[in-house]
Amino acid sequence: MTADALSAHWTDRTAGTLLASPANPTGTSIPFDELARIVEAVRDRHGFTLVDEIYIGLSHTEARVRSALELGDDILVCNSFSKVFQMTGWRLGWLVVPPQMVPVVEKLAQNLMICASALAQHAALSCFEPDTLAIYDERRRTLTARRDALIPQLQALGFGIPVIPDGAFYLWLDCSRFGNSSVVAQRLLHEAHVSVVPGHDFGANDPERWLRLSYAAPIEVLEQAVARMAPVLARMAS
Amino acid sequence: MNSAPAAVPRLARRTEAIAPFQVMELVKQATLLAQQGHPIIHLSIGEPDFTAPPSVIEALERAARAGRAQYTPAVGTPELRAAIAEDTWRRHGVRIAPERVVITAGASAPSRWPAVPWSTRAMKSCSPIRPIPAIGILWRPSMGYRSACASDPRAGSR
Repeated sequence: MTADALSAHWTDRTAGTLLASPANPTGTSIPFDELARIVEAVRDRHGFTLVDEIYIGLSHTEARVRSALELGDDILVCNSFSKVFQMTGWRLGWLVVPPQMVPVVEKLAQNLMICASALAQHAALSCFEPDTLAIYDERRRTLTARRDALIPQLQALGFGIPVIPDGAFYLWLDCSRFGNSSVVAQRLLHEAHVSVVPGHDFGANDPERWLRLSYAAPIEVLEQAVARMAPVLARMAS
Repeated sequence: MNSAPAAVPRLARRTEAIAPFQVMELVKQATLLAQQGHPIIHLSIGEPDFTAPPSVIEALERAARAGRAQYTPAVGTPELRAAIAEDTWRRHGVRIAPERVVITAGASAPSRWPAVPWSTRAMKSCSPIRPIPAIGILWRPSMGYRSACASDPRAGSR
């Protein structure tokens, strides 16, 4: 995603842009300089920028990760307790909105939600205690270790991985060597008993070529999945 | 009583334009196979295999036992909004006012609320909402949102 691509697709009926960084399904982030250029391009067109940062806390780096919030208080950001804090079914997230939009978003919240789960909100406070943050940081490193272990094994099976993800817990796999992604996903499910997702959930850009694999599983399970997929893929390879 | 299900009033045509979320469909199939005894490895859903750490579970239990389950302000408790603002400073070195933080029920649907204030005019006139450029690949609910709002799913995409 680049400012040039955004400018090329902007029309006079475009209101704004929604971005995700790190992104689902690729696990890749928009370089911060490029993000700043995108924000500028959107501002020039009097549009809004909303950045989905729900995976920003699961970046595969020890360095401080820069948030779009740095680019000004006109930027909207959404985030969540689901991924970084591993509370998916608790249904808890947050928006950071420009100060002058707070009353509007408050009205939407009142009408559409009343409030987020009270118990989840009270409990979530303990996510930010130092000991709990240390657990989360350790788990983030575990995800990085899985990524590093899994990528060469999947490449050896014949999947293409054009970009090494820098965040989240997904790999976006080129399965074109084995056939259409829907067929590959079905055969992997029924013949290898491994469940991965065809690209169709993620847009119109070559969905039949891509599979999303989530490595949110212990390393020994991931290795078992590789072992099970190998013979099925060998039969499908062209 | 085995009577035929009662007819429901005709649904708006735009409901047909809402594409299913394939991950959820596939997970349904995988779950069915698992129930039949097949040892399925689930690498399909965007959900960590870790769950909330013990301290968070204990905090939940304390809150529940203390009966703290009443409605909170619509924008969330002041304590959690402040904690998130502080965490943003710690993680990213950015100071944000806690008042800018609005606590939501998950992020999937609420993350699309902010687009509402900018699309009301078009929605009132029953024309497609102003297209949000979809360049490259994006997460399904973004597409579902676009189709539910009757925007042209191909508008600005490639």
